[in-house]
Amino acid sequence: MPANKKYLTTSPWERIAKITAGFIGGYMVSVSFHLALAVWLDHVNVIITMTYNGFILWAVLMILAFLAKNPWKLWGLYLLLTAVFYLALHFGKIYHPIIPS
Amino acid sequence: MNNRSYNILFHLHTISGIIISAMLFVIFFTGSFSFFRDEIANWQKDEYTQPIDHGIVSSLDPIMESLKKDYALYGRDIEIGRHYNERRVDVSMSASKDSLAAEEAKVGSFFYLDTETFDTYNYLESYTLGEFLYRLHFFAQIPYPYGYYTSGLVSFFFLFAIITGILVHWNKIVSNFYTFRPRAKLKTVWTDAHTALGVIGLPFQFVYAVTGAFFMLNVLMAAPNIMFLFDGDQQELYNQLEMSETPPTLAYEKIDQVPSIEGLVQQTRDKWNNLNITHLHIYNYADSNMKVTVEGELPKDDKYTGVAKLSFDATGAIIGEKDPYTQNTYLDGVKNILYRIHYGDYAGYGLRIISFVLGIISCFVILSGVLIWLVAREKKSVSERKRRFNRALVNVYVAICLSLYPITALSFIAVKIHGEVNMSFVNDFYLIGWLILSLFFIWKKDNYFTNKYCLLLGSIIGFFIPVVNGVISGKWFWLTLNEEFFQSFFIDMLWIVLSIISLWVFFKLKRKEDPKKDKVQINGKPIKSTTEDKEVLV
Repeated sequence: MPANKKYLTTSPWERIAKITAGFIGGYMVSVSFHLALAVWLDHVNVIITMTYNGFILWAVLMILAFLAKNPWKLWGLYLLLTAVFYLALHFGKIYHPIIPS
Repeated sequence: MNNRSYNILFHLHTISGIIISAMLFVIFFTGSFSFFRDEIANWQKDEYTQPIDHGIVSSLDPIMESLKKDYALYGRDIEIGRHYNERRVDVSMSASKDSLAAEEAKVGSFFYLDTETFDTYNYLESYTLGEFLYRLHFFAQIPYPYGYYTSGLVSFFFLFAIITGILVHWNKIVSNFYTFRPRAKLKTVWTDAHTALGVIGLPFQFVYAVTGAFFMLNVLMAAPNIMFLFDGDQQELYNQLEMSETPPTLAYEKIDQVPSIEGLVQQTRDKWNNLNITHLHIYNYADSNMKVTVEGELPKDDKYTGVAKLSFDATGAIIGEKDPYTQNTYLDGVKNILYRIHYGDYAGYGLRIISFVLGIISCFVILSGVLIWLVAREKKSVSERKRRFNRALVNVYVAICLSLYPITALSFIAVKIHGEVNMSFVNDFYLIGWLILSLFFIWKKDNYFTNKYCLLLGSIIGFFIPVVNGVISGKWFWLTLNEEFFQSFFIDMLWIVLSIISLWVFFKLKRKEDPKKDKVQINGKPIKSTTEDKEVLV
């Protein structure tokens, strides 16, 4: 009953790309998503939500990475998302500084 | 779901599952016993407390007096907490902040203090089998941080495995739930048991996977926050999450009249009815800038998240307050729930017993998964070399996992007979014994044998646990069914019940050696291993 191999990724490079996209890329997207939310919403609530939801979202993104047809495009998408969230974080920090000065 | 997604998810579930399986089994098995960590500790030390958690109940003033005898307290930060339902409280002291203090006051200290005898014990002396099992369930015996991170990653990939598992099973979730074909071929039995029990245990397992990852890998979530949101200011993050408070500075002004700590605790207790005092922080002891923060919780049947805090200055005046009824936020809720639902300690023995059973069921799901993995690859299309490797791997896995049962039982007897135990005794006895048993079963190369004799061994040893307890401490289980010694009664009963069940399973297994049924049938319960797997393996 092992999974039918014809549906699995055969190229080792593509496989590495999927694993890294899921593990590293997924982590980056999950973390940057929560950080971006934190600066625009109540940051304490978002940070404490992130302590559990960060892992759940990361796991889901990891699964999605393996389902992708083209791992390189998926890496691109995860990088793009991270960049967008990072920008949101960057501007959010300017408008809503968190650290009391 | 299309075929492609199904097969990919299936493969992910298989691979992530087989990689974490043996480690996850250890985590769940020892973790299940950790629900009774405090009972095991008290049973071993023969020091019993009230079974219901009431926080710090003993008076603080005699404790402070006994500390004063051994330590110069001026200018120190002192923390007293009761984390476990044991007679000992933990005391942690910082070095005195007074730069003119004597040399011996310039070192910090951490120890356990018995609230009845006022004897102090360091961590190694206070070690118990309960603590050992609890620590083994996050691999703390492997040097920090590797053990912690490994168990955290196992937990995270467990989350990955249960999500992919439920997705693979999604279309058949209802129909297969009612399917159990014990007389079908072996692979079907395991598959049925794996899926049905997996679905029943899913909410439980999901909770443990997420909270487990949170406990062991929270640095992965905290670090980016500190880096990007707080520009490297770690203390600020913890302040905002109310996990610590910045200690006040020393004023270098000794005061003559230090307020009675017990008085402050009593004041807090009186303010909110029935409050359980969990923690006490004393900053700058006996200084004019002294601050005392008393923390407590409402009983769980009163309010699930009811964190209370009252701070006093050196004169005993209230300077800060957190009301458990009105001032508990989402933040307090999350922090409380992440711990409570993992520890299962908010609804008495009933919930912990259910959690224990679900934990052992999870062990079964893990092991049946490994056996499915093996059986599914026992076919002509798989090369003989690969099949030999698979069998060897499963042989090792099964030996390591199942020998946990007899060695755990034997350790209960060892610590009881040995009396005064410390950390190295428990570590050596358990880990070396486990190694020897595993090596023996690996050498026997027979999963059926391993399963059968681990159950028998565990069961026989288990029956002796209450006997040894009775002989050594005089607390025979028919004498201890009362409030005072209930913890002793509970541990004895736990082993009697476990022994009866495993002995019953042992005899069930024996009957299946009946050669007539050998080939295609097995009857009865979802038992881990049968004669047919013996055939496969030999």
